Amino acid sequence: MLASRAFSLIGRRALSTSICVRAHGHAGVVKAEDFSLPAYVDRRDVPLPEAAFVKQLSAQQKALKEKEKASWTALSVDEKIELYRIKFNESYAEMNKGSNEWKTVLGGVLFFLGLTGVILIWQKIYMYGPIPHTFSDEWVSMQTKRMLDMRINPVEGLSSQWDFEKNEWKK
Amino acid sequence: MSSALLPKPQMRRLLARRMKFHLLGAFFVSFGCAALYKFGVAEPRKKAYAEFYKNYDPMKDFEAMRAAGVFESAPPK
Repeated sequence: MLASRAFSLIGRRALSTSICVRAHGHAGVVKAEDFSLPAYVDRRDVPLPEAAFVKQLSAQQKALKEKEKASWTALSVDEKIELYRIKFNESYAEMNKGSNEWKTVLGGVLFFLGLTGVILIWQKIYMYGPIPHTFSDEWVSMQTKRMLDMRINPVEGLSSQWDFEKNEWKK
Repeated sequence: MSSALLPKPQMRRLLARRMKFHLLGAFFVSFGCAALYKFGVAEPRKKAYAEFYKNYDPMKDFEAMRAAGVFESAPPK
């Protein structure tokens, strides 16, 4: 692109003797990659993409494009739809249509959660040692008694749930 | 494909409408959350503390704790 512009400024004869053109032969321009050219996208927020969907038109489609240049009232409904499909891939309705993918995702998530649960259960049974003795029922009841004696959280917490007169939990 | 015309969709003031809806919604949701917290958590808590301290006798409480034997510096009598 740049080389052809340089061509017109300097003059063909001058550039044909330059080294760079001799080195490349005919092509002085790098081929543009597909991703750097205007592209077609199916997106809700891009109603008119930069490029049409169909790039290589068949002979029939080319004829239709010629007919499009005339009055549009001459086009039949099927021809209009064909022109639409040349320009666009999916309509908004097709684009926005939901799928059942969420079921697969949810199923996969639950499956792996279950698998993790199995691993954790195996670990508890076969890997971990015994828990500390301070978790036993006797120790916990001694612990709770001491917390009540100390009046832990008497306003809204533990000691507020204990009836100190009757020596039992409040109903 | 039917040849009947679809009704013309709303063309203007789309953002204004959405913004009004969401501004009002945000106001009422946050106000509601604050009200819920105030009357669900804050007021009951204030009431609980008021009730607790209305007839609270610290010396009686202390003697009860001492009798249970939780103090190092004040053993039971």
